[in-house]
Amino acid sequence: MTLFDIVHLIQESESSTALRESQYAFPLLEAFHLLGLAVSFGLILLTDLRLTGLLLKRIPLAELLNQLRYYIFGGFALTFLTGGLLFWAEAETLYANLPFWLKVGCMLLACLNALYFELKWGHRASQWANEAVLPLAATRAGWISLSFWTLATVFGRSIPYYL
Amino acid sequence: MTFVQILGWVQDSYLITQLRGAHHLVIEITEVLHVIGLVSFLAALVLVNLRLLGFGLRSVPHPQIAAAVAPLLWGGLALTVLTGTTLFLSGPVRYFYNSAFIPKMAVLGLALLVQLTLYRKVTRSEQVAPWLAQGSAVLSLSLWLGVGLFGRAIGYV
Repeated sequence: MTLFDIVHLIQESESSTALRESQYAFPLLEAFHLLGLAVSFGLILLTDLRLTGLLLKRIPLAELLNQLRYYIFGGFALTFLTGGLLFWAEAETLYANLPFWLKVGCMLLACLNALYFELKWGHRASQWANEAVLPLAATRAGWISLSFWTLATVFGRSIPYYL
Repeated sequence: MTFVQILGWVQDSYLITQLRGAHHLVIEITEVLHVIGLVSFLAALVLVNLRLLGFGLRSVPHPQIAAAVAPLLWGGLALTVLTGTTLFLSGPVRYFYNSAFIPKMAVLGLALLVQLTLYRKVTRSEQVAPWLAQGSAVLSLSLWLGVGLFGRAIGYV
């Protein structure tokens, strides 16, 4: 069974068809996907701007990392859940969509970067984050995150233009 | 001359016809920038509101947070309004007759009014009654999320 067979089966399923043809569910999912994005990507963006030193220099980084963590996770849970359902509704259509794959690729890289950063630096932020000069690895993680989440949003918004 | 006639005149003007006839990437990039601007603006707003609600960064006084995110807040809003205006001008009559557009503009007007009056006052005062801080945060978040929801609805009605 190829990947195409799987997405074809998904899109042909009853639940996928119902979601795709629904009057309110699909647009509402898109709306909540956007709201989840504003919280998850929004707060990640703020963290990245602080890590890279572009903004918020007077806000203590350790607090930013420690206190925003759960809101970022919450926002991502909403974004991934709604995103997953949106994919379910149009699996086969998205399979043939270039921006979709570029978006998935960027998300994967951004998530790996976040995971590495969290395991290596994030969880013990109070030990290094309030130094005047941040470790190079932390600044680099900020730039990678900033770039790939922005690209994921750019490609995500481009999906409907290439359907 | 009615308002719609004016919009029709704008829609048929040389410049706007050029905009509509331009490469599809022009409108697409404008849409992308519209979302990036919105996310930047909302990110700044969410951070200040989390502090006003007492949910995070409690060791930092809220005027300091509001001042720190101000470039992102106003930069994001400027980008959103600028790209939004461009999108509207690409087909003003079409947008005017879209049943989600007028509600969006109404909520946007209200949100901006609150942002420039109550919100500005609250985020600039060191001492704010907790009920006022929390009330402003809830009002601000609801209004701006409303703008986002009606905005997303424009593509569907």
